[in-house]
Amino acid sequence: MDLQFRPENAHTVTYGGGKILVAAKSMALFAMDPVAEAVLRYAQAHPRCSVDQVTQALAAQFSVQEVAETIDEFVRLHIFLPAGVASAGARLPSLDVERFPLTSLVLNITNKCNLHCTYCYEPEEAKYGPAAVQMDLETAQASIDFLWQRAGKSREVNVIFFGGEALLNFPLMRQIVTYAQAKARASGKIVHFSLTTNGTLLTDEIIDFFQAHRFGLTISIDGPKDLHDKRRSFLTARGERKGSYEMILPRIRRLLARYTARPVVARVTLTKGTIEIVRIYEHLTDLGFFEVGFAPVTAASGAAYGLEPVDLRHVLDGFRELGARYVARALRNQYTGFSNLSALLTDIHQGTNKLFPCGAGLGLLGVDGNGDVYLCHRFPGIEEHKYGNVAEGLQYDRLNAFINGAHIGQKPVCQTCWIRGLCGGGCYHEAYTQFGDGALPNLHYCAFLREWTEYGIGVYMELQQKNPGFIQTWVLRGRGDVPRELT
Amino acid sequence: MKHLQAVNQKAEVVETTQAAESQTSTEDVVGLAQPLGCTTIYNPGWEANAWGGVNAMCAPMEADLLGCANVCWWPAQVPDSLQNYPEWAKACSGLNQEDWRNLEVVFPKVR
Repeated sequence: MDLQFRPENAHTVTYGGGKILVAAKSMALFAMDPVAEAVLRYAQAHPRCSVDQVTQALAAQFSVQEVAETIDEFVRLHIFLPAGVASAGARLPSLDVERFPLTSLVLNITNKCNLHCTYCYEPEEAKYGPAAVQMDLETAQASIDFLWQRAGKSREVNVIFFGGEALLNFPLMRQIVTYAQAKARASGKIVHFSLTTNGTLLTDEIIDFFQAHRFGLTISIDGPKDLHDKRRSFLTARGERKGSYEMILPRIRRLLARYTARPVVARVTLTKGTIEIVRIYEHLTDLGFFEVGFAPVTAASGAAYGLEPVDLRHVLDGFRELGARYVARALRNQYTGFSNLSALLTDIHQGTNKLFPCGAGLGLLGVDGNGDVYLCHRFPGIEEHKYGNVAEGLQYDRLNAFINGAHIGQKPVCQTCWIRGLCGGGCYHEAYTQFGDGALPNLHYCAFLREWTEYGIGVYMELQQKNPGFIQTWVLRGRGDVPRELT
Repeated sequence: MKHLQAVNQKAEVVETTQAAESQTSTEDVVGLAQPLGCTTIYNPGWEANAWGGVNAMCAPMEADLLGCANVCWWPAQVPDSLQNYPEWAKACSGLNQEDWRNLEVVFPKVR
């Protein structure tokens, strides 16, 4: 049989203990025996070959049967295909978004914000002044009704509060929680609440409210005072910038002391000059955060705070340094709250193989203060990705057109990449900001993510070999496998 | 898999699926080349008649059972009329559309 080698479906990662084959079509990971390694090496040098040629070339080391079996196994993984068969990525399903249950709704309950973080993606007019929108009760209830209508048979739904600074509309938050919980009781569904906040408005009353309703909490904080205050500042009436760290520190301490319902996560936005990964991690965990998630800032090119390739290199080095601590602690059965690595290890373990970068438009939608529905919480204000209104319904033809156009198979550059199943092309908003088109892949992160994933595979192998079970017990997160207390 | 050892959960799933598939034929599916069974006969209860009449439609599932067991055998879950329940379809002449009304009720034998 004549064969074609499909290199995009076979990537090898070398780590301390050996070599791993990533069968990228399925994101299954394998260890290879000497026959498999030899066949793969031959294929890499001779991408168009026949079974006979491979067998002959390796006849000195391996029997005909061994080679034939190995080729057969590679064919099953689409690492070889019969010559002439079209590349296996070709056929694209036509998804009907309307048949997808909606499980997460992000409510932008206010556009207003009391901070003036320099890197915020929300436009100035949206946050300050007369144009800033506060969601009203009627719209909020319509949004909750919308979530329930679209949730289908899902047993659990997620209501996520966002802004601006969501706590500026705390009274509405209370009302929404009451309303949603009544619907949950009546329908037999479970509703979870979460919130991202800048922390400036936390009070005991608010903290106790979160405790009572088991809110998943994320605090936006960029690290120790000097790093945090670089970007996350107040703007005084006189036009002066004043860092917010001193203001939020006591409030965060109070929160972490008083709130015990769920682990609290720190979300760090990485910008130029604030990329000291280990230092940031240690500072925040010393404060008492259970976990730290690092997010490189989304910036249009040319922004002063944006990350350039030299900065991404520094970030990756920092991630590796923190990763080394993660591994050392894991070998002592201690969990390290480095979100990025835990999420990566989860994806590697499960063999996550996504067709889309995220659930936006499918299982998750964003609603702004007017009840207008967007792809996700980052898109309010961007007309192109407004798909309707909670009271009037969605324009499914337009949403379907976008989602089907955003399928990984529609991204030609991605077809040769071995991490396409993990990445899916990357965040729509990031792509929109960089390139003006949400359906394009995030080419500025390809090298970063490939290196990060290789690193993650090395960590995965080391942990599985030296402390098997650690990942299953401590790391698998929020995808059904892990006790809720650890997510 | 003999030459590849699964390392992550997805690989285990792939291996299990492959093992199950290799129990059956791995050849391509080939379309049936000739009509068989009930595709060769006119079986009222399924179809409008030759004149487009629908009076034979909406027969209950017993009609289907009888048709599958007697006229055209396929693995429908009918009582075993060879050994254990020879009376099941005894009263059905096989000649008219209302035969299914004469099916007996059977109960599993308790050993």
